[in-house]
Amino acid sequence: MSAVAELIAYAKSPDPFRTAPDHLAELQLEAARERFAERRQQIKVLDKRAREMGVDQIESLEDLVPLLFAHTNYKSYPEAFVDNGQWKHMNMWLGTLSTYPTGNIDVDGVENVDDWIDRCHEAGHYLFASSGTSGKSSFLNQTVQDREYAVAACLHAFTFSAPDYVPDHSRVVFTQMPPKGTHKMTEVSTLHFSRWARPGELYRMTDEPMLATDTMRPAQLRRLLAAGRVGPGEIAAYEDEVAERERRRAAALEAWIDKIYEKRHEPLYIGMMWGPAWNVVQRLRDKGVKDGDFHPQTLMSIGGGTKGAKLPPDYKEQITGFFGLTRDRITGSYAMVEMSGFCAKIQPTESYAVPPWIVPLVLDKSGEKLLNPAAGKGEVEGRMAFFDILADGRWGGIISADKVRVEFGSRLEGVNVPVVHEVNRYMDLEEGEDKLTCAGSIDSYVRGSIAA
Amino acid sequence: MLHKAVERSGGILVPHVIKGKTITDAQIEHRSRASGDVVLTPNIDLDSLIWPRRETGPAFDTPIGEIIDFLVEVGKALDFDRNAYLQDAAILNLRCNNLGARILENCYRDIRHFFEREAIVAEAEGALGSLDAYDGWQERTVRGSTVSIRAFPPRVVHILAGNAPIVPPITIVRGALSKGVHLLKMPSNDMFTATALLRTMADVGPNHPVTRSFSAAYWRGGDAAIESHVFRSQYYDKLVVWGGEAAVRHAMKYAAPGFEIISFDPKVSISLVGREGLESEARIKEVAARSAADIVAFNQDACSCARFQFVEGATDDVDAYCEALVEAMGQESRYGAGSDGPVPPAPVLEELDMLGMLEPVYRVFGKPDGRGMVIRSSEPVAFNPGGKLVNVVEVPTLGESVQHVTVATQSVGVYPPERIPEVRDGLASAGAQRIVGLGNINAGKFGGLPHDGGWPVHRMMHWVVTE
Repeated sequence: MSAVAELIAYAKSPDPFRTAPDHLAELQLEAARERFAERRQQIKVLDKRAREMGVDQIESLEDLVPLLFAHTNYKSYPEAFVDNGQWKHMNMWLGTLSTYPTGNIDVDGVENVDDWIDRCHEAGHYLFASSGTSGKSSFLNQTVQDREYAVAACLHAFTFSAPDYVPDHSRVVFTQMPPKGTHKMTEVSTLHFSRWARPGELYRMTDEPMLATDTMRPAQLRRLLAAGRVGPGEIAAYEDEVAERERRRAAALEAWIDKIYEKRHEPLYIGMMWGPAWNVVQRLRDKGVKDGDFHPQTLMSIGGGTKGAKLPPDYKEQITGFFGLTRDRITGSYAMVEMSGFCAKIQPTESYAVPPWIVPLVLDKSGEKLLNPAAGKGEVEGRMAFFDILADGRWGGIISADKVRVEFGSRLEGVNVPVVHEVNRYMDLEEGEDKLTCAGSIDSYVRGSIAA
Repeated sequence: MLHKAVERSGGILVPHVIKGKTITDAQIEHRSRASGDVVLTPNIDLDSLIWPRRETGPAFDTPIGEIIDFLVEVGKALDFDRNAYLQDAAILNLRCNNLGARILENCYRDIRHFFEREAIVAEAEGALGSLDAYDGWQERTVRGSTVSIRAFPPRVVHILAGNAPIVPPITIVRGALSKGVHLLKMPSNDMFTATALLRTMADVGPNHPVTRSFSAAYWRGGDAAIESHVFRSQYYDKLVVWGGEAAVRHAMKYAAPGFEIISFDPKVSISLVGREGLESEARIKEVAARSAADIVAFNQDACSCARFQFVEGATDDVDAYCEALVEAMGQESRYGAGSDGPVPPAPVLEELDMLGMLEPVYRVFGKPDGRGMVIRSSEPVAFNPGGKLVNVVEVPTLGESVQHVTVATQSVGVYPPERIPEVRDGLASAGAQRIVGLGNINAGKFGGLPHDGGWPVHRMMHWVVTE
């Protein structure tokens, strides 16, 4: 059995964190070696990078560092391909970042980026999209195997982080996640919450699918306007459409909050991100709900960033206090869309267990130097990067925008994997992120609600 | 003198010139945005930054002929080899400017040409039609009535840009022609050239009305403690802003009834190369050399530098041209670096890396080694090429390139020049402002031509009629 296969099998284990083998580090290095040898034959961008960096094989984890991809790699396609409907070119771009050839994606009749994503899926490329603040979506490829294993791993992680509770269709569930969409978590979220919800008691903040087109349209219109390719009527119609959608969403949110208000004394399971959760707390307070005025068995899965929302410094305490949550009823996790599965919260601590198929690579801020402790034991702080051994459809090496504190060999609560103690985004910290900007000058001439 | 100031204070002294008087009493410390140096400026007396409206400006009634004679004398004193102010400015600017010593020195050596009689007269006549129009009230008969019209001297604040030291001499010549009063706000990446010129002027004519009509100072751009008090219609008629987006947007905030903005906006320049340019190997070489002159001048850090080229021809021919272009961009020129030039910024290099993977849709020529790079495509790239990088876009016909021209397009170099009539109306309609034969974008002479779609001296004037 290859090291890769051995590690991937853990994704289907109910508790990969405590059952991980003692020689995990060795196994991971061997798996990374196997993955690199195979992938550089398949992924053009990886091969080029390896050639330029002079990496021929993985002898130590240091060798992975110059081969890490940034999130931006996955949105490096020329926007002209999308604006001009050059979907074959998009296939070609996707192909440079994918393990398996993308020539089989049929683009006949594709009209927009969501159609293209559907066609990718039909051809076995289970792309998901991730929206940045830039208005340019990134597209990450995954195979059917990626999807199957990652979903299983996520569900097990949820269970792991709430060991005292079992999914038994006994709760009223509230989630932000729509039933359909390009987001990676859509499928996991539906499967997860369906296990907990009473029949007919799964309430979504919106039923409108999350589309890549919606994310990309403002920036696209900005480009087309700058290029003189749209008239004022089209822009005005789009602005009306956005206003209408916002009205619709606001009404849906209102109804959703009313429903939480109405059901708050029944056992709930609420899934939310920190930013929107703060808004919900404010609205419920306005309705007279007091701190802790919820069913004492209420569970909450909460995480994510605040997406630039202005929150008080103690927003986490205020939000969890408001819902009356004790630590054991918060099923948080640490993850990012580029990662297969989650780093699951280790109850009763505030730390997260890194699954065995994820090799954490803690780097200096500039992302050049590996800081992992040499002896495989000890604590280290720096930029989070990792190698995802499970990733089949794409290269597993990723560098993130997070500052983390990771401990190796902690054995915290019996887990046999590295543990993440603290997570922050560099951009939210006083030290800030190292910014790289490049502005095209015609943008100066564009204004209105489509302006960036 | 400046060098002594540097040693004494541990920072770089930025003198101000207020109405002809040089002020070197350094009191305020700034950190240079461009170089990181500590710079020291005099304290700003807000009242000294204006010329009260109840008083006539010093040069309002000076005959234009006398003003031109004076400017010509100032020009003679601007000989770089004999002018210590210019030499000092060049040395200090080297620290915060990206042009490099050789190109920067060439720019300073050219400053005196802006003050040649021929240039000044052409600029004056171009703007108002004749020199007579500058002096006093001109009687005319309009629709049967006799009226008098005066190009009344304006009160103008100028926000200067610092990417190349030609903005101060242009501003000063035009300002002097207008006979108005002018406050020059110096940019953080050129805190020395404007005052070097004004100090030269003060040496030539210590009490001359033109000398007393100019002030130049540095403060941090956007400093409300200064700008919100001074940028008002009660003190000034117009604000002329050169430059980058932030500067222009910021200036726009002060626009109000009676306080008008004249903006020399951020721009990009382009080239159109017809299929004639790809006819033979020799022709390709010649056209590549012309293109390089338009692209690499001022290290591609000016609005006039070509960043996109639309080339008419088959892919193979266009690729052959791209190879010749990289070669040509590596040659040194008066305003351009040779093999030791800048490289594109890191995020652009990353994009190039990616686009290079998408051959044959895109193709990258050259390496990031300072010699120059070309990215060939069939659609313009999404980023703004810079750092000796040009995007060659293949087009089936030159006419097709007009769709990529916008109001942000400044100069268009065309090859062969005989085809200019074929494209000029389309280019102008799309927003372009200047169309030249390929290779001549940066070879133009100052004086007598429109700038950014207008006649700046004409736009500065306060046109008054008595009926």
